[in-house]
Amino acid sequence: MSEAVSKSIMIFLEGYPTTFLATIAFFIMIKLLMKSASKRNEE
Amino acid sequence: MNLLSNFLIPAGNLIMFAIGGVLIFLAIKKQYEPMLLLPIGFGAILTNIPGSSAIGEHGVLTILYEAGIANELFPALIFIGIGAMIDFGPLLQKPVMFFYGAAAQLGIFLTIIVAALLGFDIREAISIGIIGTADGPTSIYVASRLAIHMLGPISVAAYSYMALVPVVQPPIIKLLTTKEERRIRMDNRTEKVPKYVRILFPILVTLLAGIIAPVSVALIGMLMFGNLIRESGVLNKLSNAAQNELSNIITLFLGIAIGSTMTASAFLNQRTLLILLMGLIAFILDTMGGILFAKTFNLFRKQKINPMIGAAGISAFPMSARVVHRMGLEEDPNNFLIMYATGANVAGQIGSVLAGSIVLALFL
Repeated sequence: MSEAVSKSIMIFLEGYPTTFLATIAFFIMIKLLMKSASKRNEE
Repeated sequence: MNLLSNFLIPAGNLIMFAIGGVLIFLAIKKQYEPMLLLPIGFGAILTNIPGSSAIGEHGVLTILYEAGIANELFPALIFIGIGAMIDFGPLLQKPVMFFYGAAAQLGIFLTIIVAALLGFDIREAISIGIIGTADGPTSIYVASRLAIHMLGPISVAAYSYMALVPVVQPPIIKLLTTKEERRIRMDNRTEKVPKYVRILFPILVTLLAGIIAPVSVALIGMLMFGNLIRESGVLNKLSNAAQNELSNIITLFLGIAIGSTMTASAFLNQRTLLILLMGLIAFILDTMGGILFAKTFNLFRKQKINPMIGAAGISAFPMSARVVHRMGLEEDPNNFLIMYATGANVAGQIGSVLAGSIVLALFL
């Protein structure tokens, strides 16, 4: 297997899950923001 | 000097005139991304006139290229305008759409592998895979960093397929979804997003993305800067300038400067055809990734989400969201998918920049 192919597979195996992990962080961040907003509204 | 000899134009240059003409035709007649394809097409013609003074050491196109593309300035500036244009409200109301924006980046990663298998070196393979971001400025940014000699075909592929989203996506969506799935109705109740959330969002996204992949700061940072200007509510003039004057001027320079890279020797080869083909593959795999993720996600959800929305996770904004919404209406005239699809689509905008940055971070 050429170096380019092995590197591209490594990028896939690391990069795609990392993209997902980052979006989990964004998801939690927005959820917390919106939760604090609705709490404020209730008050 | 015999000026008649100037009429002896090499065949390669003549073919490039024709290609430039086709791009201009597609821009005017078919309205395929005219803001980019027309300047690119005309730039290609200017560049391929033998002895053209538009290129070379003092050529205006070369100066533009050096000033804004070789140093990645233009794509970064364009992101300010894009950020100022985007309303992240639908995503803030339905943050689950973030996952769809990530899933639909599958095509980037798989296409990098395909390109490497076809014999491109890793820098070239990454630049080709990034066409799958369905995001012109990110494609240009990465290509100008890693494989600047392929900038012309990569830009043409990226913008052409973005324009062809209404042609490329529907057959794949129909292939991967059942009629029942396409008829799943979505709850369109909306939640008001407070102003402070809209203001904090671009700042926090920049910080988080920057911590995860510092190389993303140039792109995400500019995108979110534009959005902060928009949402601040106190910089309407700047927001309008970013959305209009800045975007228009940079787009003008960007397109014609990209056209200047399309010399016959750089463009007319088998590799260009492969790049165009792989760009299409990247878009198809992105769409498949988004839909298959949505279907898998539905297995774990009580309230199912219409899997067509997964296809809107690519960054071709707002075209992809419109395609999904229209297909939803075709199946059921009372099924309005636009809010969810727009949420996924703007998530795809962030996801694509992030994926591009993560790929760069893993490589550099």
